[in-house]
Parts: sequence; structure tokens; C-alpha cells
Amino acid sequence: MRRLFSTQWAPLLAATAVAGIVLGLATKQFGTAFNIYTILQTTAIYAAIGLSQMVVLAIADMSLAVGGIAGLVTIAVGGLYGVQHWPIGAAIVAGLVLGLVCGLVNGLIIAEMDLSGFIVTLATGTAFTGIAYGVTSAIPYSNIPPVLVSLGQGRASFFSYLLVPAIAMSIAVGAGFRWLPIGRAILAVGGNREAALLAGIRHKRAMLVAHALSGLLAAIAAVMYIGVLESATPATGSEWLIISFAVPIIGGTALVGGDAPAAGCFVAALVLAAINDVLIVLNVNTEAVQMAEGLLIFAAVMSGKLAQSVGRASPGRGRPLRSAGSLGP
Amino acid sequence: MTSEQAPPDVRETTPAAFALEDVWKSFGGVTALSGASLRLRPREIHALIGENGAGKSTLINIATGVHRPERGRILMHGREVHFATPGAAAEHGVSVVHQERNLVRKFSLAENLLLGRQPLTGGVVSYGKMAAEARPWLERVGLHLDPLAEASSLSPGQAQLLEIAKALSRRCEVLLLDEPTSSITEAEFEHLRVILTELCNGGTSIVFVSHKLEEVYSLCSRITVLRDGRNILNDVPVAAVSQEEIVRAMVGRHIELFAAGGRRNARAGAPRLELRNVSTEFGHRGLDLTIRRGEIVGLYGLVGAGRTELARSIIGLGRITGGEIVVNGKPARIRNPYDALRHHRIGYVSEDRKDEGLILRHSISRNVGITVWQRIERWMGWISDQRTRPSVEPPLQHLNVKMQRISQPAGSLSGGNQQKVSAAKWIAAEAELLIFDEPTVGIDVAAKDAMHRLIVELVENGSAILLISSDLREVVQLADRILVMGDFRLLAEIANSGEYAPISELVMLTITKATRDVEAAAA
Amino acid sequence: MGVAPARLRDVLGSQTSALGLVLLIALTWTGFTSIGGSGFLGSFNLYSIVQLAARDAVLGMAQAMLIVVARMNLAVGGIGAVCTSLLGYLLVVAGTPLWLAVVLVCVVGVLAALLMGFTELTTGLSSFIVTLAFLSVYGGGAVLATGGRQFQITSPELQALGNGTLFSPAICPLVAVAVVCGVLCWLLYFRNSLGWKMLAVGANERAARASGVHVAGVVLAAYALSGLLCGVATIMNASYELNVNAGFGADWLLPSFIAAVLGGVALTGGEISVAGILLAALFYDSLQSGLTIINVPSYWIELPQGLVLLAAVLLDQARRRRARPLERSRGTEPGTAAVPS
Repeated sequence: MRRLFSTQWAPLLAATAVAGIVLGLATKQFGTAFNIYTILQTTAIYAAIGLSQMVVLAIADMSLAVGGIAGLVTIAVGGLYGVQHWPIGAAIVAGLVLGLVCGLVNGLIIAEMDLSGFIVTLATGTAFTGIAYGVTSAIPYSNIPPVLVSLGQGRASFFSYLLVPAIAMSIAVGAGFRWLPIGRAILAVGGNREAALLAGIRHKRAMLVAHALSGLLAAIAAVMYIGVLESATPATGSEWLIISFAVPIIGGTALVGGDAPAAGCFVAALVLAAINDVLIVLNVNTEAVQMAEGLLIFAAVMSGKLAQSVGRASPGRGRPLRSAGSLGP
Repeated sequence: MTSEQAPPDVRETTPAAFALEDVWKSFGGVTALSGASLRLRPREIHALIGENGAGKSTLINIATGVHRPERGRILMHGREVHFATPGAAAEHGVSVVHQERNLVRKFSLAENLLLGRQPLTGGVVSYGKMAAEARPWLERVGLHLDPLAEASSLSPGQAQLLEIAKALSRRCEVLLLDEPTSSITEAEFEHLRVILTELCNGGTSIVFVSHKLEEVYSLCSRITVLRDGRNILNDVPVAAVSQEEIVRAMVGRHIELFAAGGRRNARAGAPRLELRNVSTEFGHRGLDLTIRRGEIVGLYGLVGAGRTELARSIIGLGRITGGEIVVNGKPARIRNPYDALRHHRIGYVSEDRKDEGLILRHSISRNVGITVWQRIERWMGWISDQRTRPSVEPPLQHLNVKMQRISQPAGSLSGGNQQKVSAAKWIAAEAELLIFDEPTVGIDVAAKDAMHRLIVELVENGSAILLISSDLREVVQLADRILVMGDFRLLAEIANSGEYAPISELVMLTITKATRDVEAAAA
Repeated sequence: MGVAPARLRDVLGSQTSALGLVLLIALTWTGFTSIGGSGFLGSFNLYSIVQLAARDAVLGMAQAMLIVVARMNLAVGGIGAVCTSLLGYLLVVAGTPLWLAVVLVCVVGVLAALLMGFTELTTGLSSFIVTLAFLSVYGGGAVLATGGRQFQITSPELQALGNGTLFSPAICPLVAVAVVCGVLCWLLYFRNSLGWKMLAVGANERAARASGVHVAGVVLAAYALSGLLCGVATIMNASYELNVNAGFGADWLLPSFIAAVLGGVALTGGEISVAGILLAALFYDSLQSGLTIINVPSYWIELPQGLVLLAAVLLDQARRRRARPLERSRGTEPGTAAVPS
């Protein structure tokens, strides 16, 4: 129990819960089962997007292609089902494989050429989006499989069915990083690449797996989102960039690599979804939501830093040198 | 320690536990090794010595499968082996501990020890098994800590021990230590010495690379000296060679080791820098310290005592939280090295040459000139390489930096020459107070001597010097006064007579007494 | 190897990307002319290429200002949105004189970027995350403030800048703006101590700081210059689009990186190639225009953008690997590594 509260996201969850209760009592719309369902539906999508970014942040890399992959997967699933008349199961599997392959391509280029993920995925992400637009001539597929719709929009009271895959993903990713050798290898490379190399860990393989997994998770997010939107459009993913970073960072993922708090990611997704909802309930423009997401990244990282420095202040002497002098000239 | 080993005549008949014979290797046309050899008997600690660039690291990399030799053989117990990868070398029982400590800080000690081969139960990592498996190896090197504690809590010395434990846990029978002592204290070295001797008696053969000849004498039984990729001294008993012979073998000519004894009567002038009751963000409390014009103040202490942190606080790389800094009699506020240089002419030669001393990718000219641009620029910051020449070239010539041209990247120089460039920029800046932080770590004997001469010369020209060094011999040789620091406090000030034996004894007494006091207070 | 050839290699080494780009442009032009007919090299088409290339070159420089100090500016488009909204408001609604509007837009560009710089320095966050967050703050804020309205600019001077001609009917006056910015950039990085300090900070920030460089000041200056160039790019953009809104800038990120990276600005910081940026922008927009000339549907336009950036990055990396083969082999001794023999 004490361990639970020492985690970075615990105060975040507590604050959101309190704010939620207050809002629920204060306004009529917020506390309704339908509204909570909307929040949880968004939470599920955000969590999936965030996990997709988190697995590459864990290896001290990043992916700007999460949205591009999602767009491509969306039209692949939509096109295969709606135009090519594949069975829905096959179309989804094909979509997931496509996401995995896109991630593999990223990982391959990054690992083999020893490049930063930033610039490579900026390029490939644009290319993926470009293919999605080119293939569809920017026209969405509207013939959407009912299975995906009932998944995306189905609910039992306030419980969105999308939470099932989202929670399953979070648990699987969290457990994988804790107990699977490849998960440990990814964290080791992220934490200290040189040490991992000397220990004989195949860092290229770890990089490949991290990016492939990111592609797969982005694909799952895309499939989940098709039903929510009831449309398979190449524009899916174009707005995901900020969210994909906001979720893991607010969830406590370090940008320097070496950790992967899947649970924190999920909580952060919940917080962002709730804020999103509040702003919509309060009738604020979507642009304000966009601004709020940006500001929230700062708030989250700053509160994390503050907590860290408060925690560090007590032992006092003999502080490691590395932490010093990172600011100022 | 030689008493613990068999007499030489018996040992000659046993085959070498590990040997490199007539090894050749070059990189892009630059020959690194031309017929070097290394012969390691069972249960011996063998010193491998040479200047930077002599080929030691290449030899170690070949011994551990990082590089493949172009010619030559690797033998284990008389049988030829080939190492295609570091993994293959490890399988044959050859392990290396590198200078840099390679820890994943967020992983536990146990997981660091077993990195890449964590024990599994049914395909998943078992933390219980991991702790149980790691514990005996940790205890073997004297790390009596919780195996599941995070590695970020270790001191540099402990981290080094963890690295050794890591190598041992790979069942290594040949252990190569690449400058394991470059950043650990003398007390930690003592601990390391005991453990290495134990390991050696337990059947491990050890290659020990170090620049510190004192350590070689106290630890090793035989020695090999490399120069220009060849063996100059090949597998001779350490007891049979003098320190001067080793140095001569390393540098190829006789070097009169510089002694500053001649300037002991130099008079110190007005105070250049005074610290009055200073505390810092690192945990220093109530420090008082004065450095005068024309004197060298040595600052000695164990690693972690807070010496580098003090230096950094003085030049504004750390925060001063209390007390007063007085420069040339006037209270000063130094917020960053810019203030230190611009307003007070204080410079800092960092211990971290590659990351903080130099911009390796940029030219020598830019590296030296960086401190003077502000002074020589014209209207709106107008500047050119031509304009920096008069400031940049004299110190480089004076320090005799071996370079092809001033526009070559600083990273292409040897370690000793890099250190000279790092110092040259502060000479160009005409710094009046210079803080040298470990100025001779990892550089060869000749460059070390040049640095020593430079420090004395600067002081004779009126500068003030704060010399931070873990090399007590160096401190005794150069400093006028020695300040001993322990646990972020100044423990004592010792007037230096220049005689190593009594002074070093006094210094060590101060440190051990302080440690004992702290322990007593804790108990 | 003697001293002279080594020097020659120094000179050529820094210019290979520029030479390569000239070849690439020649190749693109001949290629599209042979496929798409002479229309590609017609003065009308060339005019529209250089019109766009001039803006993209300035965007590339805005990006390079921060890449040089080992940072990045994901918010070029966000600042662009703010500046465009302001320019539209000042000229159309407030009726501000053009010169004053231009000055104010540049000042706001600088301030918007400085705010990011201050945020980076005070929070210690990476520039990536700071500028990413500000991208959404500025982008969202600009749309929010203007309510998405359209501004029809009628200033004849601005029209002349963006749609007039200079010397020949194929040259847009915006080229002059880009070239002037380029020359000023060159002077900054090659003949000015601020530029030298920026390069030093980018190559090794800790060493620069310990050597008495006022790193915070240099970083803030880099942000300010980046913001200034974003302001200039905004004015250039508005001068030929004329009908502007807060959505402008949304697609600036990619061209800014393509011009900088393809131009040979090292992403690791500490290196610059001004000629490379100008040429890269010209190549990029030649390619875009050429694809339209040969009737590639506009839906496909994003794919080549991504591929060009990818190719640029891969080529650059391949070149670096060839230039420094020794550094890759771990554990070569300091004395032997990378000495040109």
C-alpha cells in the first residue's frame, strides 16, 4: 500500500478523483453514467496511444510515427473490410500486422543506421500518412464493421467496452517490462546502452522489438478508434502527436529512458480524458483543449521534478554531482 | 606478497594461463600493435604499463574479443583460441573491467551483476533467484548490501567492486582490469588490493593496467611495458626493475622527474581568493579557505570528500548557499563560470577532459580561443580565426602541444596533448586564479611532467593555484600548503615540507582520525 | 598525408553536402523537364518554385538556429500561427501601417520563442518537450483568439514582395529576403563571436559552460533568432498567400527540418551549412512542383516529403560514417584515433 502511494502518479490520481467528485456534485452533466462512459472511452484510446509511445521512450528513443501508423492501419482495415470484403477478423489481423511491420521498418532503420528516432520517425510518419492519403484520395471509408462499432461505442452503464482491450494492453505491457527478458533488455539499453552492449544484450534487437511493439500498439489504438469514429479516415492519428507524449510523460515516463510505468500511463490517460471532458462540458473550444494538453505536460513534469527535489533534499550532503548544474549558464 | 607465490623456477615450467603472442593490429593505416605479447601465469597479478597510445587498450580489446588481431595468436593453457566476439572471450573465461563503470542505475545490484542472463523460471525473470544467485558474488568482493537495492546508491568505489563481481560471476579465470583505480581513493585501493590478492590466490589470473607505479609495486608480481605497440619490458618480475627503469621503458628516454622543491621559499602575496564560512548546495558547511597570489594550495581527500564539488561551487557550477566569497579583497558573487572568468579571472581545468574540458569535434584553435573571444571581438561581436591567432598560438607553443595544424580537431590529439590544450585556454585567458582538478589523471609521464612544470611556472608568474588531486605524491611535490578534505569539511591544513613520507603519513592520519570520529559519533 | 591535402579535405568536407545538392537540383530539373515537358523550366513554374523555396529556406534557418545549439524547434508552426494571426489582425482589422506591423510581428515572433527559451532554462526540460507543448499552446491559442477568421491582406507593398518580380519574370523578390537572411546567417556563424559560441554550446554544452561561455544567454539568443526568422517566414508566407488565417504554420514543421537536415546541419548540434539550407529548400520545392507538373495527384504529396527527409537523413549518416570510421570501433586509444596520417 505504501508503495502504491509512493509512485509518481498516485497524487495525480487522487487529485483527479477529488476534482471529479467535486465536479460531479457541482454540475449535472459531469456525473452522469453517459458522461463517465465518454471519459472512459477516451481514456481507453489515450492509454493505447500513450503505451505506443511509452515503449519507445523506455529505450530512450521516441516515435513521431504513432499517428502515421494509425492512419495507415485505419484505412487498411477499413479498405480491406469495406472494399475488398475481407472477413472482419482477417482485416483486423492484417491491420495489426501492418502496424507491426511499419514499426519494424522504423526500428530497422534506427538500429541499423544508428540514428535518432526523432528524425527517422518524423520522415517515416509523414510517409505513412502520405500513403494513407494517396491510397484513399483522402476519402474515408464509411462501411464500418458492426463489431468495431459495438466495441467502440458499446457500454454497460458507465463502463466502456474499450476499457477491456486498454486495460489488457496496460497489464500486458507492464508485465512484459517487468518479467520478460526482452522487456528487461529494452530497459537496460534505455538505462545504459553501453552497459547493455558489454553485457552481450543485443541492442539492435531490443530497438527493433521496441519499435515493432510501438507499431503494434498504435495499430490496436487505430482499430479501437475506428468504431468510436464510425469511419475509417486517413486523418486518424494526425492529432495524436501531443497526446502520445503527454500520456506517458504525465504518467511518469522519463524521456531519458530506462523505465516504463504502464499503470502511470493509464492513470495519465484517465486524467487527460477527464480534463478534455470537463472543457467540453464547460463548452470550451477544442483549441482550448489542445492548449490545455500542452500546458499539462509542463505541469506534470514540473510536479514530478518538485516531488523529486523534495525527496532529495532530506539526505542533504553528498548529493551526486550529476544532478548539479543542469540549469543556468 | 611474493611470499604467497611459488618460486619463479617452478613457475617457468607451467604453461601460461593466458598468452597473446606476436600480435599485430592497425586501424585505418595507423599501426596500434606491432608484435606485442602478453604472458600471464596462473595465479599472478600482472601489470600492463604504457603511455597513452602505446597500445594497451588495443591489446586488451584483442584479448577480450572486441578486435581481431591481424597476425599473432591467443593461447589458453597452451592451446590456441579465437575470440570472434566479447561473448566468445567470456565463454573462455576471459573478462574485462573497463574504466567507465557500466551500470544500469535503475536496475538492482543483482540484475546489473546478471545483466543479459537474468535467471528465468518458465521464461520469466525470477527476482528471487536473481538475488540468491548474485549474493555470493557480491559478498566475495566485500559488498555486503541488499542484492535488490538500486545500483544508483553505490559510490564509485563500490561500483568498481560490482564490476569485478560481475566479471567473477562469469566464471572468469583471466580478469583484465583497465585502469580500475583511476577514480578511486587510496583507502578503496587498499580494499581492492586485498580482494584482488584473494582472487589471485583462489585461482584467477589478473592483468592490471594502471598509470600509478606505486600501485604496481604494491600489487603486481610481474610487469610488461608497451611502447609504440611493442614490448619494451617483457614479462619481468616487478621486484627486479626500478621505478626509473619502468618510466624509461615507457617513454623511451630518461626523464628527470620534476620536483618543485626549489621554489619552497617563494613568498605568497596578497589573498587572491578567500572563502569565509561558505556553505554549498552539495553539503559543504562553514568552509574557510584562503589562496594567495603566488602559491599552490593542494586540496587532497578521498573521492566523495567534496573537493570537485567545492571547485565547482567556487566557479559557479554549483550554488553557494551561505557565507562569503572574497576575490582580491572584494566580496564577489559568482553565479556561473562566465562571471568567474569575466569579472574575476578565475579558471577551472576540469577533471573530465572529454566531456567538460574540450569540444573534441572543434578545432584546437576554437578550443583555446573560447575564453578570449569576448575580449578580442570588435563591434557587434565581429571576429575571425585570424584575429584569435595572437592569443591562441603562444600558449600552445609554450606548452609544446604536438599537432599538425591549429585547425585540426582537438579530439585527434593524444590524451596528454588534449590536457595541454585544456590548460592552454586558461593561459590564453590570462586567468589569475586557476583550479586544476586532477590535471594528470590518465595522461602519460611526459605530459604529466609538462603539466607540473606549467603549474609551477604559472605560480611563479603571480597566479594562484588550487590543485585538486588524488595523487598524494603529486600534491606533496607541488603544493605549498595542503588542505585535507573529508566529508565536505576541511579537516586540516598542513604546511608542506616536500618530504613525502612524513607528510603523507600526516595526511592519512588526519583522514583516518576524522573517519573514526564520525564512526564514533554515529555509534 | 601532407598538410595541404588535409586542408583541402577540410574545405571539401564541409561543402560536400552543398555540392551534392547542386547535382541533385540539376538532376531534378533535367528529370522533370524530360518527363513533364518544358513547362517545368518555364518562368511561371520557376517563379512559384523559388517563391516557396525562399520561405522554406528561411524556415530551415529558423530550425537550424536551434539545431546548432543541439536543440530543436517543433513550434515553428505554432509561432507562425501566432504571427500570421497578428499580422492579419494588424493589417486588416487595426489598420496598422505595414512597417509597424512587420516590426511587431517580428518582435512577437522573438518574444514567443524567448518564452520557450526561458521555459526550457527554468524547468530544465528538453527543448523537444518544451517546443512540442508550446506548439499546441500557440497553435490552439491563435485559432482560439481569432475564432478561425480569415484575413484578406490588401497591402500593395506586401503583394509586390510576394507576387512581383525581381530582375527577371522567373524571380520572386522573396529570393532576396532569403538570400539576405542567408548572408546574415553566414556572418553570424563564421564571423561573429555569438555564432561561434552557439556552435560551441551545440557541440559540447558542458565544456562551453566550464570555459566561461554564458550558456543561458547563448541559448536564449538562439531561441530569439529562431523566433525572428519565424516572423520573417510569416511575412514572406503572407506576402504571396494574402488571404491568411491562424491555420497557417500547421505544415511548417516538415519543410523546416527537411531544409535544415538535407542542407547538412548536423542534428547533434555544433555544425552549420548555410548554403546547404538554401539549396535544400530549392531542391525540396523543385521536387514538389515537379510532381505536380507530371500530374501526381495532390493526395500523394506527403509521401515524397517523408521519403526525401528519410533519404536526407540516411545519406547524411552514411557520409558521417565514412568520414569517421575510427570513432566507431570502441576502445581505440586516444592517441591513435582519428589522426589523419
